[in-house]
Amino acid sequence: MAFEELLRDLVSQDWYAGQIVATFTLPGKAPNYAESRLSFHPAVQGFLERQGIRLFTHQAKAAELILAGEHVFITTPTASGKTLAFNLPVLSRLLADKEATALYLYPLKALTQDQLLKLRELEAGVGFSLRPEIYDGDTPSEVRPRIRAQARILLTNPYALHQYLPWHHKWARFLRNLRFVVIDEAHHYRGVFGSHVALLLRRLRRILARYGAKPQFILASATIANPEEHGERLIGQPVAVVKEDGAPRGEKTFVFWNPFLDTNTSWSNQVASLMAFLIGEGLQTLCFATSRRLAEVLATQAQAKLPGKRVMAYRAGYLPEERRAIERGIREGEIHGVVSTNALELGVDVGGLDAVILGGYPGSIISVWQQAGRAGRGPKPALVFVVGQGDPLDQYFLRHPEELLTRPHEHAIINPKNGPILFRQLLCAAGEFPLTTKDLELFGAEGDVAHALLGSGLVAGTPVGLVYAGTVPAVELVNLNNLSDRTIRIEVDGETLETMDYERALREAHPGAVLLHQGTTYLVRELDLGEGVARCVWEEVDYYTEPLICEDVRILRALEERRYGNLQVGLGEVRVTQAVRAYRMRRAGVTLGVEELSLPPVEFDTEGVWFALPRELARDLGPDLAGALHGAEHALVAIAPLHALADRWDFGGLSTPFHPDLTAPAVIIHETFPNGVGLAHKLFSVLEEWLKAAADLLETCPCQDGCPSCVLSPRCGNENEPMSKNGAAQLLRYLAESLVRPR
Amino acid sequence: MIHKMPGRGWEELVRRVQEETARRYRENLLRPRPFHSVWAPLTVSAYEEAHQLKNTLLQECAGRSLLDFYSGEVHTTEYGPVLSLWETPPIKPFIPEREVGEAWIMQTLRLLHGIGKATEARLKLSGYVTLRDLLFHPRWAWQVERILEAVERRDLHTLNHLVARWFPVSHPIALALLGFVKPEEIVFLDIETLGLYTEAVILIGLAYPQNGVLLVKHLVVREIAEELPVLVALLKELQRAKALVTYNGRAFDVNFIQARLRYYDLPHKIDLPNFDLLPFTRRCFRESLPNCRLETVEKAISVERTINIPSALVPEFYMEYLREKNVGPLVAIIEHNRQDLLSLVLILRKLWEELVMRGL
Repeated sequence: MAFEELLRDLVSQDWYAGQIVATFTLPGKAPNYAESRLSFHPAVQGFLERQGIRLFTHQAKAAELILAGEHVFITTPTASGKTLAFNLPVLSRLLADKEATALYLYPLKALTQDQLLKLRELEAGVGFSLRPEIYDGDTPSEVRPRIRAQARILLTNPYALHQYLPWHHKWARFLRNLRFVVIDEAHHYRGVFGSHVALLLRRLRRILARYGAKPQFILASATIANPEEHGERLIGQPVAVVKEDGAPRGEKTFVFWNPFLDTNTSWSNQVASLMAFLIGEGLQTLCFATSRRLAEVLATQAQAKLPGKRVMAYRAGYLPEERRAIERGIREGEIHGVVSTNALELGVDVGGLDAVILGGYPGSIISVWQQAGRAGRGPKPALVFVVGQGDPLDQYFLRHPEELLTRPHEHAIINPKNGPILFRQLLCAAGEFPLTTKDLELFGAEGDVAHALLGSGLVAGTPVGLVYAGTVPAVELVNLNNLSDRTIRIEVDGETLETMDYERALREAHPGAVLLHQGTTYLVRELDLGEGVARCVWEEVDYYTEPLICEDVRILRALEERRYGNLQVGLGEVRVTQAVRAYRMRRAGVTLGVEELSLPPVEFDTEGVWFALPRELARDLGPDLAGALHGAEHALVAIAPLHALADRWDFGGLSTPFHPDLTAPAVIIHETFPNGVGLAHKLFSVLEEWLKAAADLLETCPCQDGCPSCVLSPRCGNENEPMSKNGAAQLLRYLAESLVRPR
Repeated sequence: MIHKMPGRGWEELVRRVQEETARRYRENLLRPRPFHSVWAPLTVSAYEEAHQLKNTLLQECAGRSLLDFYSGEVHTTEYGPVLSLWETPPIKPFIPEREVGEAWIMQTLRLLHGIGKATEARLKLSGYVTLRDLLFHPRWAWQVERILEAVERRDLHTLNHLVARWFPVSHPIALALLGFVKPEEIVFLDIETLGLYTEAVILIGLAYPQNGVLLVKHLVVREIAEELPVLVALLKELQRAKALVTYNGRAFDVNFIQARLRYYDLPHKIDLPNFDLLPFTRRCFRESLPNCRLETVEKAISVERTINIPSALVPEFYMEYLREKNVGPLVAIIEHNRQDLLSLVLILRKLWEELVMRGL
């Protein structure tokens, strides 16, 4: 093991208190090279020979499929050379056809800059210029016409593409000659965002058809469980999948760190100490934090321990120039440590780092490997620390560390048939060209959507199709990240600090909330929903705030129901009413006080799974019933992201000893996106596994009466009352067993 | 793939999207507008006044049709019906003189490649006052011959190209070229739309002299489905034209129409010389007026509007017309557009005097 000495050194530090619970070393792997030669353009072939580059098997297979004209989905681990695998054939084709163009899409603006540099290097190597350019919101207006006229490779993001599609005529040359659409980090297109992007790509295809272009789609992503399904849903056409990885890998040492074994030192202090230790040992270290807030806090703390070294925070929301400077600093070694949100998880090239700290379970196995992959590119051995947080999934994995390393990757779930998303995207499409019946088919729209569109008065039926008839540009009505497009401006002294969507503002920018921005705390004085402004003042406070959310769930319609004796499990449409009832002020995990709020509730229809329990069970549980239901609800929500690529806040729940629609004690788990993005369906298809994992979570948690790692939820509007951990465990086990018991 | 059944969801969704549209529309009203020197920001009093006007018109026009107020007829075309309205307002058409255009070309030696301000001054001192004087000059004769030929043939494209090459768009000589167009071939154009970018055209206003009087013609989109036939009818109308006169039409009207033609997959190139009066107005009134919005310029040349609504409220009036099925708000839009067209004629007349005639 490569880091034995370093780890010995670590455990002898005076602040070490036995937090290392497991250490695993994953062996490296020798490369698998392709045998056959590919029919690349001579310039590309010459480049490979000059540089002595041998393609790995998966790269050769992907290139071959691309050269053969197929839609291809490459899904291999981080640092396996996916980019080269598609860049070579794309470049090759663009060199052979002097007019041909290619569009590269990245989910985040930050990624394009780095990919541009890579493309330019490759071009320089090959000896041709295809004028790759970035075109997005940051592109200065004076260079735009030149880029539109000349670029043969364009790098952008879905948000920008969404804005530019109505101006397709300005891109006539580029679109007419478009041969490739490259969709990198395709696993990022999931949930609401992914569903929007799937429809955005159909809009692109429809416009391209007008220009006589029918490009090949090339998708690349981290390993996911369902590339065939995800690829086809995303681009609306079947894809050929390449998933066998031929790249070599260095030995990787995983160290699992349970910070709760040291009750004297706070979580963030331990992570900061760990980071300071690694940097002190000369290892450039990247630490991932699970929230923007945490990234800021950790960077500040680590910096304080390391005078003379530079530790920076990095996250989306920073100005592009700030981000560029930090990326450069990391690449050039001027910055010794960086604490980032998942913004650095994707392909932003900051070079190989020596060590990575996962500051909490990032929410998916996919992300675990993406983040761990940031350490030691190539055959170099690398060090990865997994520092659990108090959340249930974190604790689950600290207790089952081998699970984290062996669990299969998640399914990427999107639902391009989501009503609100489809409706809004169709408005945009109608703004681009009249929508014909055939177009509606392309979008997978049923007749009822057309009917609703007509009824809205925002489109008009004409002999040539549905014509957009609104008074504001249709693209303004669509926010790819959200279902409502209402945004709130966060203002300090009349200046905009950032913007957030309406629902998030209710949770995070209510009066009294503490907001953190670049290490500075701001206090929200007023949230004016009518004007869409949250007014803040700069104030140094040493506490943070958490919203307490109350909700009611009604059942609208069952899509599927199953009976197991007297237990009834259903999947269907539900109506959720949520309100941020109060907020809690906390310092270092201690509640300082709770303040009531009066904010308008948010109501939406979505999909959920419900469990209507037999009356006799209620009798057995006796006075524990309400607490057991409550605990089961929290455990089911907490563990749900194990089964579909989603995070904990994508689900909500309700438990009640008597639900009026089910006339029984019930637990309902629902999605938090209006109309649902398919997550509830996924859960319904893995009911047994889901229930078992939830029961296991509670049974193996060492606490007595429930803790934040099992049944206690930080956002519970009822402040986790009533609560019975043992009742909940008993209930979940009963449910899991009921499913397999013969009827 | 998850199949979503139509549910009670649509009604709520539609209501929300409608609300969002209304909210964004209101926000856009208050936002500083692009081409801000042309569109006025909306004041509260103007908004209220317009609403009063709308209510009055809704009352007066209940149950009536546009043809009760205007002469006009509905043509059936292969793309659908087109309503055109016409009238001859008591205002003299604008008749440019060819001699004026010619005089401008002749006196401008700088149209020749190789002649700058200094050379022009030197040549004039040496007695070469007009292009004709250079016809036998060993160095310039060839170029002069080609220009004279273009003048003879009234070749506006060549002359336009030549002028644009050496002079800014607001230079009087660029306006003087209008002299080479026959009066009945000059079409004044102004459109009304539901938005500033990619929304529908709802009214096209045209004006040109016919039999010695000014004819004002409106092509009305009575419902969005009629936008396509109206655009086709416009293309037919423009066949008569050799030049367009617009206000900010280079940036807005002509661009917008081309975008709509493209939207409907129709041939979309409008290749007519466009005499956009905005740059000339800026040159003429820059010193004396705070801005060159149409209404500011109108005041300066003493034009009074009878019925008026702010441009920014046109979409709202149109939506109200569709919703209420009452032509009242549409009448306000037509009157607004009609006044825009008349102002165009009056402003051109003023600019012709101030810039073109004075510069001779």
